[in-house]
Amino acid sequence: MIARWWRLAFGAGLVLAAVGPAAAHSLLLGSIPAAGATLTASPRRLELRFNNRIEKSLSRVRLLDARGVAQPLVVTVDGGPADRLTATLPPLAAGGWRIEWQVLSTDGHVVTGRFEFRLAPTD
Amino acid sequence: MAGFLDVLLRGTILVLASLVLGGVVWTRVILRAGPGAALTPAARLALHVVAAAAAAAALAQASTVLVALVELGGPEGWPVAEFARTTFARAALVRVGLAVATALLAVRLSRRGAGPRAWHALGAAALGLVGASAVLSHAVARVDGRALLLLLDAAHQVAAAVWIGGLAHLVLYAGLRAREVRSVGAGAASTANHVGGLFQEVAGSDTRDHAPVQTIAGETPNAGGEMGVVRRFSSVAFVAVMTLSLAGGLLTWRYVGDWAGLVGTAYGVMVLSKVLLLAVILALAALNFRAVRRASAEGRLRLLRFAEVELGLGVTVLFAAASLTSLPPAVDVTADRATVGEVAARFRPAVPRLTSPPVAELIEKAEPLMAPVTRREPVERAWSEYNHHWAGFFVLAMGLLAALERLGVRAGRNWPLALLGLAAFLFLRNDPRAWPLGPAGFWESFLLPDVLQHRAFVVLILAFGVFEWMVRTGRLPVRPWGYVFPLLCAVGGGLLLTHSHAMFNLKDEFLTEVTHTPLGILGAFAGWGRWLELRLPGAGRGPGWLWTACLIAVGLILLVYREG
Repeated sequence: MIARWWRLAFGAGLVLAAVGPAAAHSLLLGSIPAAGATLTASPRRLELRFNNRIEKSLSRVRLLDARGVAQPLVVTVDGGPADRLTATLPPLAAGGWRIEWQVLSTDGHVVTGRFEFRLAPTD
Repeated sequence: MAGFLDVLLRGTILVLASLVLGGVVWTRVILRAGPGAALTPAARLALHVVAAAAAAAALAQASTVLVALVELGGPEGWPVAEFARTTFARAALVRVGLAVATALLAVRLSRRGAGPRAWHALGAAALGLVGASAVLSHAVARVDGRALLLLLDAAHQVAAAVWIGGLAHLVLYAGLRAREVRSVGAGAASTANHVGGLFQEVAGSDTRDHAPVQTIAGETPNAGGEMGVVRRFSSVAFVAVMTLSLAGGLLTWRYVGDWAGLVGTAYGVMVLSKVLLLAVILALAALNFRAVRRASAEGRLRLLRFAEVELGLGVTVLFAAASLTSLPPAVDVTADRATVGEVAARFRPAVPRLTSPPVAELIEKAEPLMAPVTRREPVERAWSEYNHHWAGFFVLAMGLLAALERLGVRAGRNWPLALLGLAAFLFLRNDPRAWPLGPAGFWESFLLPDVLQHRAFVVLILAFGVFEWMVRTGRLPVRPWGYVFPLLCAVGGGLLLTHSHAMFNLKDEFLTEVTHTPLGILGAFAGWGRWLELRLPGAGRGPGWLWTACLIAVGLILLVYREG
């Protein structure tokens, strides 16, 4: 019985740990494309610049279209400054796009965030 | 929630690591235990505490690794291999190893004598455990100037551990000596004189049926030794405080950058909170320092009680420090920084909101409880402000009734009953999307972390109110039930300092929480004021009025709370 309670308590702890927003430790200082920007041409790469070093191999970036469908994205893990995360973007169609990111800072904080940008239709 | 759990774990580790390093310094430098010397009961107790704290620190540090791993996990599972290669995982696992080694060494040394190598190993492992904490701090993640920041951080943490941990061991030592006096027996005063010394008064003060046995330090064989112990600790603590203040000042300069950052960011305000708490601790320490130098009879009981309060506030500071690790340094927050005027506006008195927006409107417009927060609707702000303002009325009523009790109005002693009303109000209003106001059922809503957290607080408030009312009306003895109030206040204050509303916007988050910081500090002061009132009757009416004033101030701050 005691073991069962411990398992339940442990499970509850994990559930509590797994849900909910993350602490705001790593700060997104800037990005290409910039948050809220309206672009006239499809950007070829994405760059996120943080206020501290991040563990790139454990960072995730998602690109979603206006319907919330994820598009393929290749994150560069090796090389580059320790506070930047870069990815190659596929050709994008006109419309609204959202970037969702999650990084592990070097001091062990997992932080998530997101921002939108728009691609204007070409005449 | 994971961020809050991480802060709690980091704060717990800071406290435990302080007990470890503070205990090793206490054993070696203050009690002068070491190779070739027989262990005294006091040294054995300190080593047992070091072992237990180190084992718990190992467990807590391993838990931080698990929390981060669970957060990083996705549908494909936990990224164990990649995670094991990170700086955080490696440093955390090294700390787990150091904590386990410290625990094993402390157990071995407490059981039988050992040579200098084992004692040196204990010191090195404990020092490594605390110093390695710098590798899990902001310093390691900075882009530039890491070496200096790591050095300063390590020095700051080692000094804090020696001081706060040493205070804990001083309090434990006093307890041990008091028990020794009691075991000899209050009747056998002549024998007691040879055992009790400095802390005989403490034993007397804890035994309500017996008058305190008064002895003057220096008149008995042990008294001089005890005064020597306290004097040595006083000197070590002085050096530690100087070191941590210097290193802390330099770290603040690097992480905050300018004066505006101190007021306009969560990081800066938390640093200010730490400085304020530290100033109060240092004021108490200065009084103790003087008492130790004078060795006056009337100062000895006060010395111990002040040390207890210093320790309690010190633990709050350690949790505030843990909270700092989860905030971006002020120097990095340039776009989302609040102005002094914006902060001042949150404290400007205004007419409290006495009418609530309809719950149906709130449920319709607000995002689902489990969805990521991306916006805060005006109706949500209005709902929250109404809740805070009515909570303010409850707390203000408690404070005023407590003041009346102090002025001799007997009915005022029933002030804790207002907490029952507050608990019922919070239960109904905290989670409008859960039972009984919202669609989520009573049991179903327990699966929502926010609801679970809020209901736990409601249970705490109920417990606080019931116990304190029963104590004040003589239904329960003051000891131990009277301690529920100060301890819950101190813990609640600490939790408020570490609590964080995750919002979509740093500035909004900061401005919403800027009133929580003084509430947390006032909670801690109220708790330790009540503690002194209970533990140091000779202190007069000051501590009682202190916690009463803190209650009134908390009520007033809640009444002016606003989110926009």
